[in-house]
Amino acid sequence: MIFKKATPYLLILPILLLYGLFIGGGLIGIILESLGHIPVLGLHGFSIESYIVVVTQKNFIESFLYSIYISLTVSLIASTLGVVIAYTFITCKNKSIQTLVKKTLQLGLIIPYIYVVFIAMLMLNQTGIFARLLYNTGIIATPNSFPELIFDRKGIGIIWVFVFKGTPFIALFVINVMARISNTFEDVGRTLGSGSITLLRRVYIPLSSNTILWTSCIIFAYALGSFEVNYLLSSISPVPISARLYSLFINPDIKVIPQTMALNVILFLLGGSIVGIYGFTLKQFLRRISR
Amino acid sequence: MHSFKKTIFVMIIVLALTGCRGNGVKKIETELNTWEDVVTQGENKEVTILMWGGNEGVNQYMDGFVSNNVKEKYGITLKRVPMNAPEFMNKLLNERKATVNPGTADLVWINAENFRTAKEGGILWGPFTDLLPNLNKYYDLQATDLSYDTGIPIEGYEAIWGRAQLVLTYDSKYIKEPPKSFKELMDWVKENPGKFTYPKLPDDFVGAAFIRTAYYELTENADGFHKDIEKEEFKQLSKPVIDYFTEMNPYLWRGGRAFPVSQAQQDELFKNGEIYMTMGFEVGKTAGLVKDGVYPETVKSYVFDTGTIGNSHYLAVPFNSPNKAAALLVIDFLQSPEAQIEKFKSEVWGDMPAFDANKLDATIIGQLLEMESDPASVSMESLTYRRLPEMQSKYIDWIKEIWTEEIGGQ
Repeated sequence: MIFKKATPYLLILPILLLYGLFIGGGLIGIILESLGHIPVLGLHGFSIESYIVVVTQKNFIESFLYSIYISLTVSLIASTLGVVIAYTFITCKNKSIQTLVKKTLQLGLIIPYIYVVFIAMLMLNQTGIFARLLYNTGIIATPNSFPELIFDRKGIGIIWVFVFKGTPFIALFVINVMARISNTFEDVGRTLGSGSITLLRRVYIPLSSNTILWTSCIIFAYALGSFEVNYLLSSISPVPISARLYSLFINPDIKVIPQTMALNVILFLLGGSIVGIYGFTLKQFLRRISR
Repeated sequence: MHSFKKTIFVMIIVLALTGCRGNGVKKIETELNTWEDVVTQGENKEVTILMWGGNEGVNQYMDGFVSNNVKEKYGITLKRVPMNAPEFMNKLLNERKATVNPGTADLVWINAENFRTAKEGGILWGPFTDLLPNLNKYYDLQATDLSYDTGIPIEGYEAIWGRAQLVLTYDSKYIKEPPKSFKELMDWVKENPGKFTYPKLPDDFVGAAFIRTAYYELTENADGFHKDIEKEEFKQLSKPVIDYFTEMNPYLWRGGRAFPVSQAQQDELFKNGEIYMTMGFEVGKTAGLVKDGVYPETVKSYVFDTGTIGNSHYLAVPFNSPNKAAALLVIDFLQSPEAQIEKFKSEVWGDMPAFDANKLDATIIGQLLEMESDPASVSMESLTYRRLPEMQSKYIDWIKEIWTEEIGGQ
């Protein structure tokens, strides 16, 4: 009997061990190194000096706020688009269009980020396809008068890439949930005279709010923490916090390692809390609009 | 019974996972005292080299000429893994922290601040340069860059592979008279706003070298960079450079609000005509690209009259290399006159040989002279004349810091 009770825990043990070993172990290692304790490399002792150095760095707060701005914009746009696409998908009864949309979304999901960055460079650059098109058709006078859409201070390029990748992710998950919502709700709603918007607000969103919530949070966390898109497409100032972290990471100076790890810990803790706040607020918002 | 099976299965997985980090069989280091030891132990092994992969010419040289030759001579299989220096540095430092030995890499392409960190962090194996026959036969062992790499004593931990110098490239279709100094460059940039930029610091090697070059002309303190200066004094010294680049910023590509993240991206901008100049450390690369038809024939390279930074690059063996003897055989081949000459050809790589021309045989000197007559490349003579010495590596770090805080971050 005891054996039977233990089975589920035993079954979950491998993944727990994996997490414990790699994430937990890694985290402990990172914290130790952030305190300046790396005996193999000749760094001894514990101090919070590296944390102070990182936090007092020029434009640190600015970088952080900039990253939050990017992730917030990305997740809000991607969630809205994702939900709209999913709802349109569900209400559209044409099978071949549905297949086409689904395939397109799946394609968007599997293209690696780095390709999307490349696409952004090809299309949005001042010598890119759009700029040349507008220039050749005489709409803009010189290629330089094409607006700056990548490497720009508002982070449009970065946001574009994350939205491009995030929307299919959210849409596909939400479609799966919405597709399973019984037609009865819709029929009842229609009989009672609700329009499409009301149905979305009061039936579909409440019933899929969990999925919307956590997919949106994932997109938010990813835009906040991942470095490559931020690093490749950002302007020189402000620098997103993750791009800053990457620059520290590849700095060849051994003395910088504790600072890198300190920033890592800060990003982990603050990032986690911000995602939490975002999730909580979004939940309240979803609850409110369904009333 | 069923659940019992499942439990056993789970236990096996758990054991397999935790067993992953068991003690690998520690290889006993056999002594490498003479070159004969190296040859007998190194033959028919596999050598993995981690190196920057951003130049197609270099990659082809390694995968073709070098790979074929070491296979033929020693039966060695050369495996090239493209990896930026900061990445393999992190990889090796992590392996050192986790005491991973044997590791996976046998050779790394390294210099300057990365070498300093590698040496400090104990991730290099050595000293080994005394063993190398070609080095001792064809190289000037008294040359400064054979004892010091950016001010760091080499002490046998890395073997010289080549010499490079920062070279500027322009399209003579757009620029009739390229600027010949930083002073002229400022005027030119102001006349052609948006048409100049340089790769972003602190991460790009070429961009950092460009700014270092400016230090020589703008601070008029060429000797100072080899003496020990305190950080505060260095910051004072940097003032003219900071002023210069801050003044230039609004006239750069994208008004200086963005910079290409790498030399490769800068080259791309140049190829698209978005900017009129690019730069790099491969003396013959431009000539090679013109020959290949990537650049039009109007593209030329040159160096400033006030000189540009020249530096040397090296090969080193990681502390946990599984095939150290084989790695030495490859290094020795790369240092041989024939490999150095091949590497110097503009259509191959265009990297300057590191050997001492006075110690060569007459036939090799003949080949060398013939190659220098290529009109598209910068002559070696003009390069050595305008070659500015590399700074101490800590100044390189400081310059990156100053740029990030005072110039780029604005």
